[in-house]
Amino acid sequence: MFKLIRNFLALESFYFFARRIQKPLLYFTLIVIGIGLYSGLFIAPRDYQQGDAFRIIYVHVPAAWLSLFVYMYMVLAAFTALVWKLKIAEIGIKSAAPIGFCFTAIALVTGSIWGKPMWGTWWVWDARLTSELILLLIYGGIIGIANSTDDPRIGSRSAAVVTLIGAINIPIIHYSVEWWATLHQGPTVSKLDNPSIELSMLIPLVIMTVGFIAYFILILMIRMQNEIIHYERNANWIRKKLS
Amino acid sequence: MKLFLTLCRFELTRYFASLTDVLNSVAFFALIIIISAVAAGPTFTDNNTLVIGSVWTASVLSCVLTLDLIFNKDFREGTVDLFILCSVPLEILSLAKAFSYWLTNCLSIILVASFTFLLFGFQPGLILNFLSCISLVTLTMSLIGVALSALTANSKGGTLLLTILVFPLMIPPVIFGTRASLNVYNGLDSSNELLFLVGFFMLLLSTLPWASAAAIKTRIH
Repeated sequence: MFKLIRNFLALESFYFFARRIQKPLLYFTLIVIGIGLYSGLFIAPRDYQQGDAFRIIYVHVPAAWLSLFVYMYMVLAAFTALVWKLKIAEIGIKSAAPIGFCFTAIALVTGSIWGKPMWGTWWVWDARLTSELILLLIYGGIIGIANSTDDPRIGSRSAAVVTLIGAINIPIIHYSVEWWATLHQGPTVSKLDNPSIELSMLIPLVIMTVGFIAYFILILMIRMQNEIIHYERNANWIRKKLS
Repeated sequence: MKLFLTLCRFELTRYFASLTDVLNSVAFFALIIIISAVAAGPTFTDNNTLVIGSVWTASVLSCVLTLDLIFNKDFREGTVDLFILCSVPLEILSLAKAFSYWLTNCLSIILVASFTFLLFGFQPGLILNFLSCISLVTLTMSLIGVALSALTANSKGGTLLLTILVFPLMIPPVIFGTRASLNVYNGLDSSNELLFLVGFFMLLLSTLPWASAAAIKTRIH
Protein backbone atom coordinates (compact mmCIF):
# COMPACT_ATOMS: atom_id res chain seq x y z
CA MET A 1 0.00 0.00 0.00
CA PHE A 2 2.74 2.40 1.06
CA LYS A 3 4.74 1.48 -2.02
CA LEU A 4 1.71 2.12 -4.20
CA ILE A 5 1.32 5.64 -2.81
CA ARG A 6 5.03 6.23 -3.10
CA ASN A 7 5.00 5.22 -6.77
CA PHE A 8 2.03 7.42 -7.46
CA LEU A 9 3.76 10.38 -5.83
CA ALA A 10 6.97 9.93 -7.81
CA LEU A 11 7.48 13.01 -9.94
CA GLU A 12 7.19 11.26 -13.29
CA SER A 13 3.89 9.48 -12.68
CA PHE A 14 2.44 12.51 -10.96
CA TYR A 15 3.34 14.65 -13.95
CA PHE A 16 1.42 12.43 -16.32
CA PHE A 17 -1.47 12.10 -13.87
CA ALA A 18 -1.71 15.90 -13.60
CA ARG A 19 -1.61 16.20 -17.36
CA ARG A 20 -4.38 13.66 -17.78
CA ILE A 21 -6.81 15.21 -15.34
CA GLN A 22 -6.11 18.76 -16.45
CA LYS A 23 -8.73 18.89 -19.19
CA PRO A 24 -11.64 17.23 -17.35
CA LEU A 25 -10.88 19.46 -14.39
CA LEU A 26 -10.99 22.54 -16.60
CA TYR A 27 -14.45 21.63 -17.94
CA PHE A 28 -15.70 20.79 -14.45
CA THR A 29 -14.45 24.15 -13.12
CA LEU A 30 -16.00 26.11 -15.97
CA ILE A 31 -19.37 24.39 -15.61
CA VAL A 32 -19.55 24.68 -11.82
CA ILE A 33 -18.46 28.31 -11.74
CA GLY A 34 -20.88 29.05 -14.58
CA ILE A 35 -23.79 27.50 -12.72
CA GLY A 36 -22.76 29.21 -9.50
CA LEU A 37 -22.45 32.63 -11.14
CA TYR A 38 -25.77 32.28 -12.94
CA SER A 39 -27.67 31.19 -9.86
CA GLY A 40 -25.90 33.75 -7.73
CA LEU A 41 -26.42 36.69 -10.05
CA PHE A 42 -29.91 35.91 -11.41
CA ILE A 43 -31.74 33.28 -9.34
CA ALA A 44 -30.84 34.24 -5.77
CA PRO A 45 -33.25 36.83 -4.32
CA ARG A 46 -32.27 40.44 -3.71
CA ASP A 47 -31.14 41.32 -0.23
CA TYR A 48 -33.78 43.43 1.53
CA GLN A 49 -31.21 45.94 2.76
CA GLN A 50 -28.26 45.76 0.39
CA GLY A 51 -30.20 45.20 -2.83
CA ASP A 52 -28.22 43.69 -5.67
CA ALA A 53 -24.90 44.87 -4.22
CA PHE A 54 -24.76 41.91 -1.88
CA ARG A 55 -24.13 39.60 -4.86
CA ILE A 56 -20.40 40.27 -4.57
CA ILE A 57 -20.61 37.77 -1.72
CA TYR A 58 -20.40 35.01 -4.35
CA VAL A 59 -16.83 36.00 -5.14
CA HIS A 60 -15.76 37.49 -1.84
CA VAL A 61 -16.67 34.73 0.58
CA PRO A 62 -15.36 31.76 -1.46
CA ALA A 63 -12.08 33.63 -2.00
CA ALA A 64 -11.76 34.31 1.73
CA TRP A 65 -12.53 30.68 2.58
CA LEU A 66 -10.06 29.47 -0.03
CA SER A 67 -7.33 31.74 1.35
CA LEU A 68 -7.47 29.76 4.60
CA PHE A 69 -8.09 26.43 2.88
CA VAL A 70 -4.96 26.85 0.77
CA TYR A 71 -2.94 27.60 3.88
CA MET A 72 -4.24 24.47 5.58
CA TYR A 73 -3.29 22.46 2.52
CA MET A 74 0.18 24.04 2.61
CA VAL A 75 0.67 23.15 6.27
CA LEU A 76 -0.18 19.54 5.46
CA ALA A 77 2.21 19.56 2.52
CA ALA A 78 4.95 21.22 4.58
CA PHE A 79 4.63 18.58 7.27
CA THR A 80 4.87 15.84 4.64
CA ALA A 81 7.82 17.54 2.97
CA LEU A 82 9.80 17.85 6.20
CA VAL A 83 8.96 14.47 7.72
CA TRP A 84 8.96 12.13 4.72
CA LYS A 85 11.10 14.34 2.49
CA LEU A 86 8.76 13.84 -0.45
CA LYS A 87 9.76 15.98 -3.40
CA ILE A 88 6.19 16.25 -4.62
CA ALA A 89 5.14 17.87 -1.33
CA GLU A 90 7.90 20.48 -1.64
CA ILE A 91 6.68 21.24 -5.14
CA GLY A 92 3.13 21.39 -3.80
CA ILE A 93 4.00 24.16 -1.32
CA LYS A 94 5.96 26.22 -3.78
CA SER A 95 3.18 26.04 -6.38
CA ALA A 96 0.32 26.71 -3.96
CA ALA A 97 1.72 29.83 -2.26
CA PRO A 98 1.10 32.26 -5.17
CA ILE A 99 -2.44 30.89 -5.60
CA GLY A 100 -3.18 31.45 -1.93
CA PHE A 101 -1.71 34.93 -2.22
CA CYS A 102 -4.07 35.71 -5.11
CA PHE A 103 -7.13 34.40 -3.27
CA THR A 104 -6.25 36.51 -0.24
CA ALA A 105 -5.74 39.57 -2.45
CA ILE A 106 -9.09 38.93 -4.19
CA ALA A 107 -10.83 38.61 -0.83
CA LEU A 108 -9.31 41.90 0.36
CA VAL A 109 -10.05 43.82 -2.85
CA THR A 110 -13.64 42.60 -3.25
CA GLY A 111 -14.09 43.20 0.46
CA SER A 112 -13.15 46.84 0.18
CA ILE A 113 -15.25 47.26 -2.97
CA TRP A 114 -18.14 45.88 -0.94
CA GLY A 115 -17.24 47.91 2.12
CA LYS A 116 -17.28 51.27 0.35
CA PRO A 117 -21.06 51.42 -0.31
CA MET A 118 -22.08 49.37 2.77
CA TRP A 119 -19.83 50.67 5.54
CA GLY A 120 -18.96 53.95 3.83
CA THR A 121 -15.22 53.30 3.82
CA TRP A 122 -12.72 51.24 1.87
CA TRP A 123 -10.91 49.97 4.92
CA VAL A 124 -11.52 49.50 8.63
CA TRP A 125 -9.08 48.06 11.12
CA ASP A 126 -11.53 45.30 11.81
CA ALA A 127 -10.22 42.01 13.19
CA ARG A 128 -11.12 39.96 10.13
CA LEU A 129 -9.64 42.44 7.69
CA THR A 130 -6.45 42.83 9.65
CA SER A 131 -5.82 39.13 10.04
CA GLU A 132 -6.50 38.63 6.33
CA LEU A 133 -3.94 41.34 5.58
CA ILE A 134 -1.39 39.62 7.81
CA LEU A 135 -2.12 36.36 6.02
CA LEU A 136 -1.35 38.15 2.76
CA LEU A 137 2.01 39.25 4.17
CA ILE A 138 2.80 35.72 5.32
CA TYR A 139 2.00 34.38 1.84
CA GLY A 140 4.28 37.07 0.40
CA GLY A 141 7.10 35.99 2.68
CA ILE A 142 6.66 32.35 1.72
CA ILE A 143 6.74 33.20 -2.00
CA GLY A 144 9.81 35.35 -1.43
CA ILE A 145 11.73 32.69 0.41
CA ALA A 146 10.74 29.94 -2.03
CA ASN A 147 12.35 31.94 -4.82
CA SER A 148 15.34 33.22 -2.85
CA THR A 149 17.84 30.54 -3.86
CA ASP A 150 19.21 29.14 -7.06
CA ASP A 151 18.63 25.59 -5.88
CA PRO A 152 14.83 25.07 -6.03
CA ARG A 153 14.91 22.29 -3.43
CA ILE A 154 16.48 24.47 -0.73
CA GLY A 155 14.01 27.26 -1.49
CA SER A 156 10.98 24.98 -1.24
CA ARG A 157 12.14 23.36 1.96
CA SER A 158 12.78 26.77 3.54
CA ALA A 159 9.25 27.70 2.50
CA ALA A 160 8.04 24.55 4.27
CA VAL A 161 9.73 25.60 7.52
CA VAL A 162 8.24 29.11 7.27
CA THR A 163 4.79 27.63 6.60
CA LEU A 164 4.99 25.53 9.76
CA ILE A 165 6.21 28.45 11.91
CA GLY A 166 3.33 30.51 10.51
CA ALA A 167 0.90 27.72 11.33
CA ILE A 168 1.78 27.97 15.04
CA ASN A 169 1.15 31.69 14.88
CA ILE A 170 -1.91 32.13 12.70
CA PRO A 171 -4.56 31.20 15.31
CA ILE A 172 -2.81 33.39 17.90
CA ILE A 173 -2.61 36.27 15.44
CA HIS A 174 -6.29 35.87 14.66
CA TYR A 175 -7.44 35.93 18.28
CA SER A 176 -5.09 38.67 19.42
CA VAL A 177 -6.12 40.89 16.53
CA GLU A 178 -9.75 40.23 17.37
CA TRP A 179 -9.13 41.21 20.98
CA TRP A 180 -7.22 44.33 19.96
CA ALA A 181 -9.81 45.44 17.41
CA THR A 182 -12.81 44.88 19.64
CA LEU A 183 -11.16 46.85 22.43
CA HIS A 184 -10.23 49.67 20.10
CA GLN A 185 -13.22 49.89 17.87
CA GLY A 186 -16.33 49.05 19.71
CA PRO A 187 -18.92 47.31 17.52
CA THR A 188 -17.58 45.79 14.34
CA VAL A 189 -19.47 44.57 11.32
CA SER A 190 -18.95 40.92 10.71
CA LYS A 191 -20.72 39.32 7.83
CA LEU A 192 -20.33 35.63 8.50
CA ASP A 193 -21.57 35.77 12.05
CA ASN A 194 -25.12 36.28 10.84
CA PRO A 195 -26.95 33.44 12.53
CA SER A 196 -28.76 32.37 9.39
CA ILE A 197 -28.50 32.96 5.70
CA GLU A 198 -31.47 32.27 3.47
CA LEU A 199 -31.20 28.86 1.80
CA SER A 200 -31.74 30.25 -1.69
CA MET A 201 -28.78 32.55 -1.11
CA LEU A 202 -26.66 29.83 0.47
CA ILE A 203 -26.89 27.27 -2.33
CA PRO A 204 -25.14 29.45 -4.98
CA LEU A 205 -22.49 30.21 -2.37
CA VAL A 206 -21.80 26.52 -1.84
CA ILE A 207 -21.70 25.93 -5.61
CA MET A 208 -19.26 28.80 -6.03
CA THR A 209 -17.04 27.44 -3.27
CA VAL A 210 -16.91 24.05 -4.94
CA GLY A 211 -16.05 25.81 -8.19
CA PHE A 212 -13.29 27.80 -6.51
CA ILE A 213 -11.80 24.66 -4.98
CA ALA A 214 -11.85 22.97 -8.39
CA TYR A 215 -10.20 26.05 -9.86
CA PHE A 216 -7.52 25.92 -7.15
CA ILE A 217 -6.77 22.27 -7.91
CA LEU A 218 -6.68 23.01 -11.64
CA ILE A 219 -4.17 25.86 -11.30
CA LEU A 220 -2.19 23.83 -8.76
CA MET A 221 -1.91 20.95 -11.23
CA ILE A 222 -0.70 23.24 -14.01
CA ARG A 223 1.83 24.98 -11.78
CA MET A 224 3.06 21.68 -10.39
CA GLN A 225 3.66 20.34 -13.89
CA ASN A 226 5.88 23.32 -14.67
CA GLU A 227 7.70 22.98 -11.38
CA ILE A 228 8.26 19.26 -11.95
CA ILE A 229 9.83 20.05 -15.31
CA HIS A 230 12.09 22.56 -13.58
CA TYR A 231 13.07 20.07 -10.87
CA GLU A 232 13.71 17.21 -13.26
CA ARG A 233 15.18 19.17 -16.12
CA ASN A 234 18.16 16.81 -16.25
CA ALA A 235 16.17 13.59 -16.00
CA ASN A 236 15.87 11.28 -18.94
CA TRP A 237 12.09 11.12 -19.19
CA ILE A 238 11.81 14.91 -19.37
CA ARG A 239 14.42 15.06 -22.11
CA LYS A 240 12.55 12.41 -24.04
CA LYS A 241 9.34 14.31 -23.56
CA LEU A 242 10.74 17.63 -24.65
CA SER A 243 12.70 16.41 -27.66
CA MET B 1 24.16 23.56 29.96
CA LYS B 2 27.94 23.87 29.80
CA LEU B 3 27.75 23.69 26.03
CA PHE B 4 25.08 26.40 26.05
CA LEU B 5 27.33 28.72 28.09
CA THR B 6 30.34 28.04 25.86
CA LEU B 7 28.31 28.80 22.76
CA CYS B 8 26.99 31.98 24.36
CA ARG B 9 30.53 33.08 25.18
CA PHE B 10 31.55 32.43 21.60
CA GLU B 11 28.62 34.42 20.24
CA LEU B 12 29.14 37.30 22.65
CA THR B 13 32.80 37.56 21.71
CA ARG B 14 31.73 37.78 18.12
CA TYR B 15 29.22 40.53 18.82
CA PHE B 16 31.74 42.57 20.80
CA ALA B 17 34.22 42.19 17.98
CA SER B 18 31.75 44.04 15.74
CA LEU B 19 30.49 46.57 18.25
CA THR B 20 29.66 49.11 15.53
CA ASP B 21 26.71 46.98 14.40
CA VAL B 22 25.21 47.16 17.88
CA LEU B 23 25.82 50.90 18.07
CA ASN B 24 24.27 51.32 14.63
CA SER B 25 20.99 49.85 15.79
CA VAL B 26 20.94 52.21 18.77
CA ALA B 27 21.54 55.14 16.43
CA PHE B 28 18.73 53.84 14.24
CA PHE B 29 16.43 53.79 17.27
CA ALA B 30 17.27 57.43 18.04
CA LEU B 31 16.65 58.36 14.42
CA ILE B 32 13.15 56.89 14.40
CA ILE B 33 12.25 58.79 17.57
CA ILE B 34 13.61 62.02 16.10
CA ILE B 35 11.77 61.49 12.82
CA SER B 36 8.45 60.81 14.55
CA ALA B 37 8.95 63.92 16.67
CA VAL B 38 9.71 65.97 13.56
CA ALA B 39 6.77 64.50 11.66
CA ALA B 40 4.31 65.04 14.50
CA GLY B 41 5.39 68.63 15.05
CA PRO B 42 6.28 70.52 18.21
CA THR B 43 3.25 69.16 20.07
CA PHE B 44 4.71 65.64 19.92
CA THR B 45 5.37 65.42 23.65
CA ASP B 46 1.88 66.67 24.53
CA ASN B 47 0.29 63.54 23.15
CA ASN B 48 1.59 60.79 25.41
CA THR B 49 -0.19 57.97 23.56
CA LEU B 50 1.72 58.98 20.46
CA VAL B 51 5.02 59.00 22.35
CA ILE B 52 4.40 55.54 23.78
CA GLY B 53 3.49 54.25 20.33
CA SER B 54 6.59 55.74 18.70
CA VAL B 55 8.96 54.37 21.33
CA TRP B 56 7.41 50.93 20.85
CA THR B 57 7.64 51.20 17.07
CA ALA B 58 11.24 52.36 17.23
CA SER B 59 12.35 49.59 19.58
CA VAL B 60 10.66 46.80 17.62
CA LEU B 61 11.89 48.14 14.27
CA SER B 62 15.48 48.57 15.33
CA CYS B 63 15.53 45.09 16.87
CA VAL B 64 14.06 43.49 13.75
CA LEU B 65 16.38 45.25 11.32
CA THR B 66 19.52 43.82 12.89
CA LEU B 67 18.25 40.24 12.98
CA ASP B 68 20.44 39.31 10.03
CA LEU B 69 23.47 39.76 12.30
CA ILE B 70 22.59 36.44 13.96
CA PHE B 71 23.89 34.33 11.11
CA ASN B 72 26.00 37.14 9.78
CA LYS B 73 28.79 35.26 8.05
CA ASP B 74 28.32 31.85 9.61
CA PHE B 75 27.14 30.08 6.49
CA ARG B 76 29.68 31.67 4.19
CA GLU B 77 32.64 31.12 6.49
CA GLY B 78 31.65 27.56 7.25
CA THR B 79 31.14 28.05 10.98
CA VAL B 80 27.83 26.22 10.80
CA ASP B 81 29.44 23.32 8.94
CA LEU B 82 32.01 23.06 11.73
CA PHE B 83 29.27 23.03 14.36
CA ILE B 84 27.54 20.21 12.54
CA LEU B 85 30.81 18.30 12.10
CA CYS B 86 31.44 18.57 15.86
CA SER B 87 27.84 17.29 16.30
CA VAL B 88 26.77 20.26 18.37
CA PRO B 89 23.01 19.90 18.95
CA LEU B 90 21.49 22.55 16.70
CA GLU B 91 18.65 23.20 19.14
CA ILE B 92 21.11 24.34 21.81
CA LEU B 93 23.05 26.31 19.23
CA SER B 94 19.94 28.21 18.20
CA LEU B 95 18.97 28.88 21.82
CA ALA B 96 22.45 30.23 22.51
CA LYS B 97 22.27 32.37 19.40
CA ALA B 98 18.88 33.79 20.40
CA PHE B 99 19.98 34.51 23.96
CA SER B 100 23.26 36.20 23.04
CA TYR B 101 21.57 38.24 20.33
CA TRP B 102 19.07 39.43 22.91
CA LEU B 103 21.82 40.15 25.45
CA THR B 104 23.67 42.47 23.08
CA ASN B 105 21.44 44.11 20.49
CA CYS B 106 18.02 43.98 22.12
CA LEU B 107 19.19 44.82 25.61
CA SER B 108 21.06 47.92 24.49
CA ILE B 109 17.99 49.13 22.61
CA ILE B 110 15.75 48.37 25.60
CA LEU B 111 17.97 50.43 27.89
CA VAL B 112 18.04 53.36 25.49
CA ALA B 113 14.25 53.12 25.07
CA SER B 114 13.66 53.21 28.83
CA PHE B 115 15.98 56.18 29.05
CA THR B 116 13.89 57.86 26.33
CA PHE B 117 10.75 57.33 28.41
CA LEU B 118 12.57 58.89 31.35
CA LEU B 119 13.52 61.88 29.21
CA PHE B 120 9.91 62.39 28.19
CA GLY B 121 8.98 62.42 31.87
CA PHE B 122 6.93 59.24 32.29
CA GLN B 123 6.36 57.79 35.74
CA PRO B 124 8.70 54.98 36.93
CA GLY B 125 5.85 52.44 37.10
CA LEU B 126 5.28 52.71 33.38
CA ILE B 127 8.98 52.36 32.66
CA LEU B 128 9.29 49.24 34.82
CA ASN B 129 6.26 47.76 33.08
CA PHE B 130 7.71 48.71 29.70
CA LEU B 131 11.01 47.08 30.64
CA SER B 132 9.39 43.74 31.44
CA CYS B 133 7.07 43.82 28.41
CA ILE B 134 9.69 44.78 25.85
CA SER B 135 12.10 42.22 27.28
CA LEU B 136 9.54 39.47 26.74
CA VAL B 137 8.67 40.76 23.27
CA THR B 138 12.28 40.96 22.15
CA LEU B 139 13.10 37.55 23.64
CA THR B 140 10.23 36.10 21.61
CA MET B 141 11.46 37.97 18.58
CA SER B 142 15.01 36.69 18.85
CA LEU B 143 13.66 33.12 19.01
CA ILE B 144 11.67 33.69 15.81
CA GLY B 145 14.59 35.60 14.33
CA VAL B 146 17.09 32.75 14.71
CA ALA B 147 14.88 30.39 12.71
CA LEU B 148 14.06 32.89 9.99
CA SER B 149 17.53 34.41 9.65
CA ALA B 150 18.96 30.92 9.25
CA LEU B 151 16.54 30.53 6.34
CA THR B 152 17.35 33.85 4.72
CA ALA B 153 21.12 33.86 5.28
CA ASN B 154 23.03 33.94 2.02
CA SER B 155 20.06 34.55 -0.23
CA LYS B 156 19.06 37.28 -2.63
CA GLY B 157 17.59 40.26 -0.79
CA GLY B 158 17.91 38.38 2.49
CA THR B 159 17.58 41.27 4.93
CA LEU B 160 14.40 42.68 3.44
CA LEU B 161 12.89 39.22 3.14
CA LEU B 162 13.73 38.54 6.78
CA THR B 163 11.93 41.72 7.85
CA ILE B 164 8.85 40.79 5.81
CA LEU B 165 8.83 37.33 7.36
CA VAL B 166 9.30 38.45 10.96
CA PHE B 167 6.78 41.29 11.15
CA PRO B 168 3.55 39.30 10.70
CA LEU B 169 4.66 36.86 13.38
CA MET B 170 5.47 39.71 15.76
CA ILE B 171 2.00 41.22 15.72
CA PRO B 172 0.49 39.41 18.75
CA PRO B 173 3.26 40.28 21.23
CA VAL B 174 3.41 43.87 19.98
CA ILE B 175 -0.36 44.25 20.40
CA PHE B 176 -0.24 43.00 23.97
CA GLY B 177 2.94 44.89 24.85
CA THR B 178 1.58 48.27 23.73
CA ARG B 179 -1.74 47.53 25.44
CA ALA B 180 0.14 46.94 28.69
CA SER B 181 1.98 50.28 28.42
CA LEU B 182 -1.22 52.17 27.59
CA ASN B 183 -3.07 50.46 30.44
CA VAL B 184 -0.42 51.48 32.94
CA TYR B 185 -0.46 54.98 31.52
CA ASN B 186 -4.23 55.16 32.01
CA GLY B 187 -3.91 53.78 35.52
CA LEU B 188 -5.35 50.33 34.71
CA ASP B 189 -4.20 46.85 35.52
CA SER B 190 -1.85 45.22 33.00
CA SER B 191 -1.19 41.79 34.47
CA ASN B 192 -3.33 40.03 31.82
CA GLU B 193 -1.15 41.35 29.03
CA LEU B 194 2.01 40.36 30.87
CA LEU B 195 0.63 36.86 31.39
CA PHE B 196 -0.12 36.59 27.69
CA LEU B 197 3.40 37.70 26.79
CA VAL B 198 4.91 35.14 29.16
CA GLY B 199 2.66 32.42 27.73
CA PHE B 200 3.51 33.29 24.15
CA PHE B 201 7.20 33.32 24.98
CA MET B 202 6.93 29.91 26.65
CA LEU B 203 5.06 28.47 23.67
CA LEU B 204 7.74 29.64 21.25
CA LEU B 205 10.55 28.61 23.61
CA SER B 206 9.20 25.08 23.57
CA THR B 207 8.65 24.84 19.81
CA LEU B 208 10.96 27.16 17.91
CA PRO B 209 14.41 25.69 18.73
CA TRP B 210 13.35 22.61 16.78
CA ALA B 211 12.14 24.73 13.91
CA SER B 212 15.47 26.60 13.95
CA ALA B 213 17.39 23.32 13.87
CA ALA B 214 15.30 22.21 10.88
CA ALA B 215 15.96 25.57 9.25
CA ILE B 216 19.73 25.29 9.68
CA LYS B 217 19.69 21.74 8.31
CA THR B 218 17.62 22.87 5.34
CA ARG B 219 20.19 25.46 4.39
CA ILE B 220 23.30 23.37 4.86
CA HIS B 221 22.95 20.82 2.06
